Amino acid sequence: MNKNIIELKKVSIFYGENRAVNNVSMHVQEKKVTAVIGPSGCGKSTLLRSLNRMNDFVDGLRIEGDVLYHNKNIYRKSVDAALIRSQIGMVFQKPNPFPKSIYKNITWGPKINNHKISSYDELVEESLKKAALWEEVKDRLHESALALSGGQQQRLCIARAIAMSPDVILMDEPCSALDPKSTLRVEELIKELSENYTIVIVTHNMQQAARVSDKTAFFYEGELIEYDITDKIFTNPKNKQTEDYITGRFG
Amino acid sequence: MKSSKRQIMNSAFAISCKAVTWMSLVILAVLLFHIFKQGYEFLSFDFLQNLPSRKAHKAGIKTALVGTLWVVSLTACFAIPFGVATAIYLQEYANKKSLFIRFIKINIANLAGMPSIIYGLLGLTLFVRYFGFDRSILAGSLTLALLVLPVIIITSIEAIKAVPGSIRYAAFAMGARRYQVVLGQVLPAALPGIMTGIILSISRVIGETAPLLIVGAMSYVAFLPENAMDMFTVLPVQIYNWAGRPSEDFHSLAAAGIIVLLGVLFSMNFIAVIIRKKFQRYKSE
Amino acid sequence: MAKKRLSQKTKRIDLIFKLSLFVFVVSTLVITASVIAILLHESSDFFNTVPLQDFLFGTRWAPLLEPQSFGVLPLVSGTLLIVFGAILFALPTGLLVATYLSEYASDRTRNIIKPILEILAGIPTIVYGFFALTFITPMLRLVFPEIQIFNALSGAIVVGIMILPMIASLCDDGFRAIPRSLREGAYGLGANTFEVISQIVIPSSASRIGAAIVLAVSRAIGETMAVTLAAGATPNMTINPLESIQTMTAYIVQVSLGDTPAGGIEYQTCYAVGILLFAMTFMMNILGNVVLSRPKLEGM
Repeated sequence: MNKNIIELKKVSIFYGENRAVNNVSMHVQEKKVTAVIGPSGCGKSTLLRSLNRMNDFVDGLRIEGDVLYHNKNIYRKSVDAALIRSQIGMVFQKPNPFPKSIYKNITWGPKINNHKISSYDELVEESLKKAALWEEVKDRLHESALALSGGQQQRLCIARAIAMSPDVILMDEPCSALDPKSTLRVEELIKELSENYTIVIVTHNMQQAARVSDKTAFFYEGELIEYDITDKIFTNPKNKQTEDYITGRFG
Repeated sequence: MKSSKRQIMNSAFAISCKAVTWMSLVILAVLLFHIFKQGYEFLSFDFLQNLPSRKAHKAGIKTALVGTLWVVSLTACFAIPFGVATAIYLQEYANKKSLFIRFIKINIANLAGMPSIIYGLLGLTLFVRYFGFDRSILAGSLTLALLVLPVIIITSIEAIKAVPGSIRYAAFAMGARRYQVVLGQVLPAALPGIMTGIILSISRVIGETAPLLIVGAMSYVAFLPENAMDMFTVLPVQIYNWAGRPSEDFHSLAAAGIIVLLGVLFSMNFIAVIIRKKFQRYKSE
Repeated sequence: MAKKRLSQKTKRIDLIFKLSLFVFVVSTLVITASVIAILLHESSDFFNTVPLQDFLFGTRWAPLLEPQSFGVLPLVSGTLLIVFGAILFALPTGLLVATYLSEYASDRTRNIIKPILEILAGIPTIVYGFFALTFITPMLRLVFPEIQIFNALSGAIVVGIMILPMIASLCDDGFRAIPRSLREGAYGLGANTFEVISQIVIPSSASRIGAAIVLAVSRAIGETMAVTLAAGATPNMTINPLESIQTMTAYIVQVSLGDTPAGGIEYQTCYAVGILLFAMTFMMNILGNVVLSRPKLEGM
């Protein structure tokens, strides 16, 4: 029985007067892939970014309710957001490697967080291998990361997140800027990664959710409509709205 | 209006736009040609090596060149850290909506447009007299540092702004503190732009005359300065001194000095362009 | 645990870093404050001796001669004569150049002309002063044989050349900020390029053009070396550009180069004129900068 590494309790998120996320309660199980689906603009990304306090950077954003990580509310005043972010990694929609070498992209995070690393070379190799990128770049580790293709850059971003030894990796539509072939590779990667990491992935691509996730949460207009094992959601949804979305009646 | 009259106006306008624009090129060409023609005969290695003299054919700009080097280096030392630090705060830490920050930015824009001679008066009163630095390289450099500071701030802000936000987010998402994001990612990425801005600002310093005249750059300096408290002269002041004399020979000397001045400026701008081009490929698409 | 201790440490470093930077930021205010304080303080004795009306409205400026007179108008009129002449040259020219750059020129041509304008802008003012003295004035003499060696016209031309790139580049930015759709609407109704530019583009960027003028005027007012070399050192209230005049800036240079003892009233005139100069440019800069910092298009 996997314990719940993240739990949301009656979480609402406001942009000024606008309520983007409405009274959401759900849990994220350890070492499973949890997908968050729904039409665009329904608050999925906002919700995801509240899990590692990246929303702190948005002006005028207010959050109510509790976000528990390892059973502790990360929004308490005494919590250091930077510490949370070093334990919960994030992969963004558009690949954003640092304008540095591939090697430095991976070592930068652990360095500034003062991780005890016996061999940076090993760390780089391990992370790139886990992200299925090692073979392609092992001969050019010190070249600019910007010279890589879009798909490779995104896998580099995943390797970079892995190098931090997080227990959770958040992915915000990680394949939407990639071509189909790269998308497939990243999807395979996600499934492999879930053996060691908890993954929460936001995607507007239903088929992708069906392919990679263990559990799926369907969001509509900021509310959690249904949350269940992926198979059940896609073959036998309990809620009519879910069914309409799955069968393509809207979104 | 009859259609042919409209057409005539249209063509005339187009022609005048083009003509006037190319005219400005002609102006530049005429200016450079005239200066070159007048100064050419005095241009020689001796000219670069000699100290100034009352005899035009023996005079050189060595003291002025050395003085310029001193002043430019010191000015850079003062202005660059000050300017870049301010730019970093304004762009990365400040709440841009606050009234205070907007006030600061307007103030900087005003300082950028303040006549250079007012900086001269500021330097004279503050550095030469009040602080007691007297008519020294130190006083001159501090004065020019204040003069060039707003430009460095403004160009650095632009360079920092150009760094994509996605890089900052990626860095924060790894648990970095703001100073780590700034020093580890933003500043390195903005460095080429900042350097270009610095080089261009410093090259302005090389041509500044009025503030240094007021602060006490001497017109006739026949020795090389040995430390920052020494008296000094710089290239444009030397040129001014020669240009003001009635003799035709000294006018030609001034022209030769100008050729050297323009040569130095041109090289610096060239370097700035090279830096900008070389680091272009490091920028993300 | 160790992680928490490290995070406290980096938190402290971040705070120290931020505060250190803030010190520099505040110092920029100190600079302006110092300028104002110094100008006021050093000229206070002067204004105690010379009544403000005499200074501002007097028409004879002779602080270094006997009998002394401290009416600043000749210096102001000298400055304004130069500025007026410079704008007369640079404004239409700048507008036409900006128009050419934004509406007619191909990208390749732009890439040639823009750098040249930057070069023109980057040439030090002393070079322009020298150019005025040794080339422009002799040329003008061919047309106006009665022109003096130092004359306002030469100064005005050369200052005009100096502010031309500024006007051209600011207006070019302003024109480019007007969306294509606005132009296309006019073209679609059968207007030709001249009409689109003169009746749509230029009126729409009126505020930016205004700001450009204001900033260019401020720059021209503060111009020193070119006018010192070209226009002369004779305070002279005249509108005849063929005569020698003295600008506020040139006067300050003259006094500084001379042997006036510190503290005497002649020395203080520098600061008095300095205040006037500062006030004029300060107001124009605020005006110009505020207009420029407004959003590029209203109602979009």
